[in-house]
Amino acid sequence: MSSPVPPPRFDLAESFPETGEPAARAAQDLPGALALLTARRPRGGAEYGVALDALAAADGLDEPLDRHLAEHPDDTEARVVRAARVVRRAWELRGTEPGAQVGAERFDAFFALLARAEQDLVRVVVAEPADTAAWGLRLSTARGLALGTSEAGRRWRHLRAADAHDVRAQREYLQHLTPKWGGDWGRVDAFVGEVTAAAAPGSAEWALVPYAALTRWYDDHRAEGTSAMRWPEVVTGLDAAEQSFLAAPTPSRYEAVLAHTDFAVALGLAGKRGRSAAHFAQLGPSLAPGTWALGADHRSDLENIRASALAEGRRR
Amino acid sequence: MSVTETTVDGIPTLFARREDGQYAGGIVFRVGWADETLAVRGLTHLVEHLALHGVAARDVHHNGETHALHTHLYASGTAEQVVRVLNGVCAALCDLPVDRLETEKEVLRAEARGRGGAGSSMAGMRHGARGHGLSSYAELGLANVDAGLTVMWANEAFSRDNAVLWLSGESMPEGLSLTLPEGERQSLPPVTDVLGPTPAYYLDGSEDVVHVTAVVPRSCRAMLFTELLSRALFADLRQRDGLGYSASATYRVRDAEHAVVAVVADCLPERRGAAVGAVVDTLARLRWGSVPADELEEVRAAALAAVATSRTLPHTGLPARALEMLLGREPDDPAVLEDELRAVTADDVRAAAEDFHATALAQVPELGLEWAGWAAAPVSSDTAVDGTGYASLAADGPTLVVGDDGLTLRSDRGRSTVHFDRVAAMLAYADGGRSLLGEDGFHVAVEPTLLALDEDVVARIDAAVDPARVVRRPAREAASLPRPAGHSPEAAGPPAGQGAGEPLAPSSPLLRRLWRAARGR
Repeated sequence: MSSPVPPPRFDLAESFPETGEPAARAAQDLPGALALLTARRPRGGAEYGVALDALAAADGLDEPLDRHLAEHPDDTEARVVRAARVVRRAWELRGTEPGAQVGAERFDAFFALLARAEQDLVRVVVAEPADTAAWGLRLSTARGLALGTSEAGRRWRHLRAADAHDVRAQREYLQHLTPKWGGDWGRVDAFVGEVTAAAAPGSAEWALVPYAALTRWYDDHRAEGTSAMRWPEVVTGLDAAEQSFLAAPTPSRYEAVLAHTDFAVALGLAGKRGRSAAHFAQLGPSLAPGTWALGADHRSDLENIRASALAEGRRR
Repeated sequence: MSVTETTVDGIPTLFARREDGQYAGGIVFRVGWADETLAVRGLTHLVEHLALHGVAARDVHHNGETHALHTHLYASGTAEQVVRVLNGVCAALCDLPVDRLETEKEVLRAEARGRGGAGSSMAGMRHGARGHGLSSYAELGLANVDAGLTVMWANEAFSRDNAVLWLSGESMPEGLSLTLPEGERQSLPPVTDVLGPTPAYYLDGSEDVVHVTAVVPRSCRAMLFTELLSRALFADLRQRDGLGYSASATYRVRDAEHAVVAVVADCLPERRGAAVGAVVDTLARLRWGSVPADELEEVRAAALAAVATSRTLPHTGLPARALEMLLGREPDDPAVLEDELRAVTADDVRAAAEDFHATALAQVPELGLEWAGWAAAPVSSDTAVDGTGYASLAADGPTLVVGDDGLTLRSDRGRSTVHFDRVAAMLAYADGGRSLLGEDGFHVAVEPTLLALDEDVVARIDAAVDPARVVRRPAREAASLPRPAGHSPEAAGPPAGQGAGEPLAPSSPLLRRLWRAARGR
């Protein structure tokens, strides 16, 4: 009898316990936790981002953060954490339904939370213009507040000036460029081309290709089955990106989870089950929740691929 | 070298010696468009034009300027030329060439057409259709102004007791004969506020520009803050982000206590959102970012250099000093000013940025600024009148309610109310159309072509509105009358403000007399 397939582990801090250290410490020692977070610079780097996510999700930190910031108003690290918590709460409140299904009251509360986060974030970026974590969060607030592609572009350019290879921010900005948020697919393609042109072999940035393909399929074609993921130009793009991604080790373990999930899901939907399984095998129990959700109605099929990949891995 | 205070023909006079062989002189009067009502908007400007017309001398540099609180007539050249202009101006003010009245009105209309109106609705949004808010409004009162009113305004406001003369040259020029009537120093018009909580914003998609104004206490720190803000805007919006061509901030004295700091930043049409975001960030940078020491020293040095110039060339500061006298403010002692400028710290600049933020009003082409924590300026009246309703002739057009105390125009997009006792001006067209502008800036158009009105509605409105606030206009051509499709109250009117506060009494003895006179005519 084969052992059961481990359930997906979406929390990166669980997969990489060291990134959860600041969150674990925060309740007892907020300044110490903030110092641990700062030690994971550069800001916006993958490990920092995961640690920030954990702090954003930790219970009971709102009051301590408010008190801390009242005493130390220039502590930009604390301000980033407070903003990240509010941004997370805002998007949780909004939920994932289409805008038309979100009532006016919930939207008002959503906007109010994001506007509150903006107050902290603008204060951070004027003090530290190269703080990519704050700029990344401002891309998220800009999307929720519907500030449009012009302002999103300005924020992205600020972030890019500090770190052109911030994988999470690239994904956030890509969302702005989709038709749903006021852009068009031509701009998405151009952006993906711009990022991959500067990406090193093995970089998780290559996964922007499957991420963009999945986003487009999800937004425009998911009602038609998976045929749009099998269009020749899509498959050709996935092939080339995967080749570049696999050409060298990925420097960041955390970003590797994002990238492998993108390739696993996109190739799975494209009917490339064997190559999809290889990425699931690399992931082990870990999965990036955002891309996994893009699998939509096809997740049971993807779970089968994943199960076989993980079972195969255990037999070896 | 210093400034001598004396009196010429009963007019308080400032004289400063200069050694470049030039002479200059001017008379500053404590009257401007903020002293007018909307119904006579343009009257002061008209007097200024008439005063200069009679002294037209092509060989002399001379000019006139009408501002919110003062009017300045001046000339430069030889002593004889300056004396000739000033004598001529005063003579003309005593005996206005009113045969020129209609011609000068045409000139003023042409001047207004050339001036454009970028950002001009901001003062009206802040102050309503009165006082300092009148800068947002066209000189629509000119149609109302006749010779009698113009002469009375000139006699009352352009008196020797409401003026300061300034002169510069090798010596006091000979031959001055500045006969002006006796009068009184005009009190300042009240500063009205219809805006509500600040910082506030409103949307105006008609131009690719971000405007922000704030009313701040006059101070050295505010002046240096403005210079630093101007530099920061240019560096951020143009040089770094390439969002537009010009981005700057200016500091303008409003009255004895306050200055208006105004930001203007243009942008490419497709970069409107980014321009709004960048202005927000730049303003935040002055509040919370570091103030580069070298930049602070540069702007301080420039300000100190300007003070040094006023010391060595005191005649350069005479017009400003004359205005200060009229505003009731002691002239700045250069030594004190230098000390204050030297004392400004980075923290002071940040404090000035907070002052700016606290009263800021922004006009943005898109996005709004609620996301940045700014309040939406009121674009709908907070009161409505009870009375008889009149439906629109269009299926979804606005409806009019006519009550005993005023009018309310309602549409899906909001409502505009004008109370009869708070009418700033009513345009009365001979074709029957009426356009009422409230002192709070809200506007109600009563158009027989748009509304199913009773026969006597217009007559009832006419009877309820103070005649001194009525501006008669000829009938509009049939083709230009409004038609039901695509009309809305908000789109038709000048800037809208919030209906609040007590009805404004005529703002000065001068205006009270004007009102009485207008009623009696």
